[in-house]
Amino acid sequence: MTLTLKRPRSVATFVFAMAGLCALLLASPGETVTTKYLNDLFIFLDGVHRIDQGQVPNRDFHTALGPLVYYIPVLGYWLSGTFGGAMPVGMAILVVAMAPIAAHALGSRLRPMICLPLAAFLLLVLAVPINIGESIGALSFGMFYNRIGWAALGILLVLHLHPLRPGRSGGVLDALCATALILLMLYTKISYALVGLAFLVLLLLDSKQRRWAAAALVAVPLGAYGVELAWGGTLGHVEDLRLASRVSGSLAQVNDLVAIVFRNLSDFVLYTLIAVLVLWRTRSIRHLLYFGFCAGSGWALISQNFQQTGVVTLGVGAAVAAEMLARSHAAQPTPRSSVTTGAHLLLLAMLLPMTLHNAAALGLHSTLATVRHGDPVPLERFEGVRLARLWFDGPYPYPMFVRYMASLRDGAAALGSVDGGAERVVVLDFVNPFTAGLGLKPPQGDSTWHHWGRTINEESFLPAEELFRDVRLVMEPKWAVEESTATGMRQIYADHLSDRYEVAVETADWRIHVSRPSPAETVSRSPASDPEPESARPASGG
Amino acid sequence: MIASRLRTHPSWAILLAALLCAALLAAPGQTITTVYVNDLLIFLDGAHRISVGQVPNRDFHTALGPLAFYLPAAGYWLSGNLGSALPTGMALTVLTLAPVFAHVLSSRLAPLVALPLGLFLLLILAVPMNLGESIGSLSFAMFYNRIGWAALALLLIMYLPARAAGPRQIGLDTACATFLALVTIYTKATYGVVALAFLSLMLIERRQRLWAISALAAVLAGALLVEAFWQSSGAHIEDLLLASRVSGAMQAEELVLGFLRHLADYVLFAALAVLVLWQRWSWRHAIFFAFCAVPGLLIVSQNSQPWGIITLQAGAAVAAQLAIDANQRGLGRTSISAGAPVVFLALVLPTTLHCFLALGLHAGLAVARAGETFGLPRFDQIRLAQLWTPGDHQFSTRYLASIREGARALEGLPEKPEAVAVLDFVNPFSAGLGLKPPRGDSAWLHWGRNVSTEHHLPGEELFGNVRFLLEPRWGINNLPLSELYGPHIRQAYEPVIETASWTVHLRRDATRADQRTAGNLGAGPGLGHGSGNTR
Repeated sequence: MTLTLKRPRSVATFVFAMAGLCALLLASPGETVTTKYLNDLFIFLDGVHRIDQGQVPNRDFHTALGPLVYYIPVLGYWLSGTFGGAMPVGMAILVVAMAPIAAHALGSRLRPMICLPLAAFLLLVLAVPINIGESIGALSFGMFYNRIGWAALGILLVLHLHPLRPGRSGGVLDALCATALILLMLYTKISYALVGLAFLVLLLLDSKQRRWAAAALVAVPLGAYGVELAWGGTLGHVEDLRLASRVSGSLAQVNDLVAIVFRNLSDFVLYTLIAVLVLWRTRSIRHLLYFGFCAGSGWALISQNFQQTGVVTLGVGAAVAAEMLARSHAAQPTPRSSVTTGAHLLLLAMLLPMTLHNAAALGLHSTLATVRHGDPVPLERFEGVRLARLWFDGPYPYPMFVRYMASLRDGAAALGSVDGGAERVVVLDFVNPFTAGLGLKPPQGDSTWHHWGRTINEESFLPAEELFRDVRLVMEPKWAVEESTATGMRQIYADHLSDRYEVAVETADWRIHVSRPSPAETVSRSPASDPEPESARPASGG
Repeated sequence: MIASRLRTHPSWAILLAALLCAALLAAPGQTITTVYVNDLLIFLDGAHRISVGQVPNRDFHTALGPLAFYLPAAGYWLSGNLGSALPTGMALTVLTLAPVFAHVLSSRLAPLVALPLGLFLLLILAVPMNLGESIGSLSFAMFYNRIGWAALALLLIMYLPARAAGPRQIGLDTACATFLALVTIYTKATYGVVALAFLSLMLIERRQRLWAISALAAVLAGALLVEAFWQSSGAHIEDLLLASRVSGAMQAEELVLGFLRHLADYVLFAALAVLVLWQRWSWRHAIFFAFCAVPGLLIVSQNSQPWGIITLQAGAAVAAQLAIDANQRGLGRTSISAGAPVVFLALVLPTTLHCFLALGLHAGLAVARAGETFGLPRFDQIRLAQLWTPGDHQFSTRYLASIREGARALEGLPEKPEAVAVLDFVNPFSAGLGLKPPRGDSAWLHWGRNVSTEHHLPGEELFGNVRFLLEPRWGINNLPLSELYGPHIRQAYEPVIETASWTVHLRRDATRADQRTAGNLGAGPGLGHGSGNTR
């Protein structure tokens, strides 16, 4: 608090150092430790494997998650060479890549005393391997795209303030930053990008910022066009998003929306307090709109997330409010009043607890990953992915995932005994860990993630002809990690399965169906079938 | 004019707020609950037992202090119906403690700190909700924890010396400290231990030593006086020891989890404490802050409470006040200390609002007579409501349905039953049907908390005076209890009625010679001239 960093350069240095430290903590152990949402992690690892095999999201497989949700871990995989490194190294790269944007956006708008806590807060939201709002011990990369969205939107919202030192190049950098942030959100989770675009439209009301906001609004579609030229999956993505939104896109119920405010009451109260102080002093409609926007958009976003607490935009809005108060005082010759100091402290009261919480969780992950704590997932290529149980964090959900890992061990052995080798496997459950975990050839046209009531339900689902277009083996779990998904999928696809497939192997946990028209090679049951001739087949289109 | 008066004299504002809280609680004359129906029944049963002349720990076992039963009993006695027992009892508590609030807060704290803290503690005390739960989780369950926190927090504020020492200051301080310590001791012992430890700690402070030592003496005298009437302190300690053998072990896991759950509070508290110590190091202050941080965590690890170490807020108030004082004396070279009250406000304001909304919600639902009544004749002013959070509503509905079924079974008996006990968490029938309660049994049986396979009272003692024993087929923790006491029941009782959810057992010797033994039941020293079964 007593740091007096006057020059923007030292602020930028701090942001870079902070980002570097976070990245180092994430990446250096090169392992993933998880205590929760193990099955969510497999979604991303499955995507990583597919891309590594040459597939392209939304062209070769269906997904309602943005392509960057797969390409970021792919970078981590390519750099580290292991699936254990995919998530942490991928996120470390993103943290480092975001640092210059954060340094510019926050450094140009906020005085160091506000800039530094907010930068630490946002960088840790991005870097921490937990679902925001959960306990320090709830280590998981599940829903990491939400954290990317929150951090990017948080940085963007600071641009509401006029720069501390208006300069010529500022506008160009602002437009570049805003464009980059919105594109990042657009290809990670689209709801954040919509909020970001709405914010830019709001900025058009401000005559001093209108030009760069308009430029960014033009640049975003241009960028999207450029992405489409390279990717070619935009239409497929929109189609998958529409499928998912038919299943789970309904607006939240009023009582859920009220419950969000009550669960986050402390943040909402402090935010209101500090915003009212600003509005009382500035009497600006634009600021009123802005504070309403921060609270309302954060509220809407969290209602769509699988997340209980942690409306990040409130912390950002409060930082902007504290900066406004400090500026309005600097304009007067009177000494700093207790209101300004109070606002700074109020801001710290909002940011510091979550910052420390996330720092502790990040440190915990780094430590556990370094000492190789926990049991590796029993699939040969997932040995750097560990399931841990923390003595202080209660038993749940550890036993369930131990059971899940046992079923994976059983399933891997069963796949090894399938005649003709295992390839192009679909699992009638939440996710397919086998393709990536055993290094199998992925099928085409299926999906990385099935979640009953979220991506699929009895009315909206991929037609069987599409999902099983290229599938050789269908694994039906007897013990499913997501029971309702497994039951639902079994019912939806029962006819197709009995028509085109037959049960080849049955174990304690799995029933493996093999596609019928496959060549008649079902003579012997040699357990160690050679995968070479299978993978030497030409890939079927793309 | 009035506003400025209230600002400069926080006592009046606090008394006014206490009056408002009490009115919100008591005026509707109804109890609304959305969760923990079974916990509520403990205190209704307790109020009933007291009203027919029983005495805690003498006539029934309990590890909770006697005030946990006498307060609802006072509410019952004042209002005349069980639906008002808890709201009125708590309103009474608020009003009784209000002058102590006013004295302690106004004598130690500047209005800027005294008012927010006063409102915060008043609402903690008054809100019918387990701390840390959602606004929709209305319940009087575990009200004793809230009394303990509020009393202990007030006591901790007395760490600060009085701002203007008048001639009556020592006397008032002694009286307040004694009263607060006695309230904690006779409400829940864990708070009492911490309160006594704090009074002993105050002996190291020269300026405060006088009232602290007289308070300790007065607490001792008070305890002796209570014992002269109650004559069950020994039995109470026995019950406490039994409960602590079952669930008293301190687990490191619980402490770490508790700390992590309160991280935000600890951070803000530490920010204020560090600020004060950084301005001027003082061993005494450091010890005091540690005292706020550690015993509070120990207490909360023994409570069934997701959030709320209220000693942190008390410690933060003291720190904020110390920062203000340092600033005024020109010691606070930085302007940061000027903002200390704001940090304190950040710590208490959200919870204050949360509790106020819950209290208002309870009052609103009570006035609107929301929800369904419990369904036993004397529980007609107690309602189970369903709010937006489903929670355990389904469970509660089923639980109430089974209770109604049990009540019908009892009403089907040829004689009016008495000395009825339930082999589950709590007995709703004595209070709900106005039956004469048994003696020697336990106010509640919570598996793993005050009864376990290793540590329990023998069936002969627990049910020695029980005539009808109701064994549920489904309940809170009936299965382990049935297993534990099954042999005794089969030996001493025989089933007389079977319903879908209950088996009603009648004591064997009672069936053989029932009129003869019935006369002996319950004629003990505690029963003499009680008000009887009048209401």
